[in-house]
Amino acid sequence: MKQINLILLIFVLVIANACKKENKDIEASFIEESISKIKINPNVKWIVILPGLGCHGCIQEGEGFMQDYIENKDILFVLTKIESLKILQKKINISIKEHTNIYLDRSRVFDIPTDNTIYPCIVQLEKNKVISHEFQSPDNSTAFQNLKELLAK
Amino acid sequence: MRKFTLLYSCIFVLLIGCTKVIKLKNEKQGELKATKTLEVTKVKIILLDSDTAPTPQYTQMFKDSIEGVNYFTFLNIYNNSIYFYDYNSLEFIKKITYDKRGPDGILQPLSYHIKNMDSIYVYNKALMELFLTNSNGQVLAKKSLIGDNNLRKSPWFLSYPQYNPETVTPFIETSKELLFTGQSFTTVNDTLINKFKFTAYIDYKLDHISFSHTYPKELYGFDYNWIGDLYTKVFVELHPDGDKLIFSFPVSHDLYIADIHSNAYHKVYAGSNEAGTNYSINKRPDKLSSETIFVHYAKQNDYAAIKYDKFREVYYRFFKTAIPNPNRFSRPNDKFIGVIIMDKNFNYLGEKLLGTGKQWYWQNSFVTKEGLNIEYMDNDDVDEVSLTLKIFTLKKI
Repeated sequence: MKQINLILLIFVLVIANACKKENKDIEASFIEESISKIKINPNVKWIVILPGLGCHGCIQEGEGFMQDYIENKDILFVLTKIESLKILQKKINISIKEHTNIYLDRSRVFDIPTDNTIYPCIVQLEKNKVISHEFQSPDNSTAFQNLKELLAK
Repeated sequence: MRKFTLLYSCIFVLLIGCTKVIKLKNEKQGELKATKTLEVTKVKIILLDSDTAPTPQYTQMFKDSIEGVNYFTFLNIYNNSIYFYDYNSLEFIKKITYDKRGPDGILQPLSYHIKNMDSIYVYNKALMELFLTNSNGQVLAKKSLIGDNNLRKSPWFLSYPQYNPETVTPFIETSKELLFTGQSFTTVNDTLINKFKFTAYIDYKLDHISFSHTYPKELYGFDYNWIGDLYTKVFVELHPDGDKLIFSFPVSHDLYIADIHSNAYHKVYAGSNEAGTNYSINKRPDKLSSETIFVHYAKQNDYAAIKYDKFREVYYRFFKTAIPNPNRFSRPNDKFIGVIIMDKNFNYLGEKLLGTGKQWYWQNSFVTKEGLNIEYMDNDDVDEVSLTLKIFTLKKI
């Protein structure tokens, strides 16, 4: 009887655990679906999702990266949850109208549904398919630096 | 065996994590007859400087009795300033800029109330304080809104309201005190439902603060799960009699009216003809993903600000419609914004659907002699050169 109870207990716990989908998987499928909702140039190799609200320092890193790499057409910059485009344009000294590699996410389809939504996200693409994604966060503070090094190769 | 059955039952309940649900039926859905609607009769376009964005966090109409000017004022959070425009000519007149640090520093202003040019009250979100300032940007006094508790250490939010002030939830000026209504940002535990008070009563010298008005137990008590700050927001308007407050809770088809210093509510019906039943979430707060919370919110018709129009003796109650078939890409701004019109006795006169929250920044709505002003957003204007107010007046059907 004890064995049956133990098996039942394990079964219940396994079922409960199976219901918990990892954040990484949730994010990957979400980003994939978000990308399918917009038209992307097939030559784009990287997407940088920059939220307007969230981790202040991390977003500043992303804005700095955007200033340095705005002319790189391999990168699509997605601006989401921006409170004011006017203030952002003034801050980063970039005129949005003059660049075709900026996507204004007014409908917030790139508002990632996990706690990582507050961080800038770097997505690697191959033929519009997501290869990987990572966030610039206090726990992963070199994401943009790593990307810079990859782009320099 | 019985012991183990009990064990599994407990595990099952923990996993499911169910909680009691309240269903709030709209008793008059589909039965209300409209005789009036709203139509745009005027548009005001206010040109902004290079430091200013549309949809400011907070605005206030202020009549300067000395200068005789009717000002439209707003907070510019990007440069810590209050801007003054002549509401009639739409000319920029002046601005008051506050330091961020130092003896006159206000780190993060989020709202303000101009009583007169020598008494301007500014709410500092960063430390949850209220400042008394003057038109030179000088701080004259300040008061903690959380009883001088340490913001980071103490669970002050169980005892004191938090504030997300908007134009539609303004400071209210009475003869003795300034009223500032906040909210709980989470479901209120049943043990706190009769203790947690959301309206601060602040004397004009900032010497004393008291709190009043609790969430109606029938809506928010019994551990009903209304998780998320959208359900627990409190919208308030001063009754034209001057001695009562009218509360609009997002989840209720009714308005709750109480004496200004009493917690005894009486209800009046103020629902939309289109709104269906609202229901709380059937799971415990700790069992919910943000996606589940949002989908639940998307399916509800929720109510918002209540405004009194003293020029036409009518009330306007804002509401937001449910999103049909919401999915993971639906957003709160996909909801349609509507306005219910009621006479001074809260009898239904009609309602008007404006459009989605992507077009209408309903949070910046206020009444003037011209009508009901609501900020409109031009999403094609990436340079954000202006702020647009569309003004609605009543029209017979």
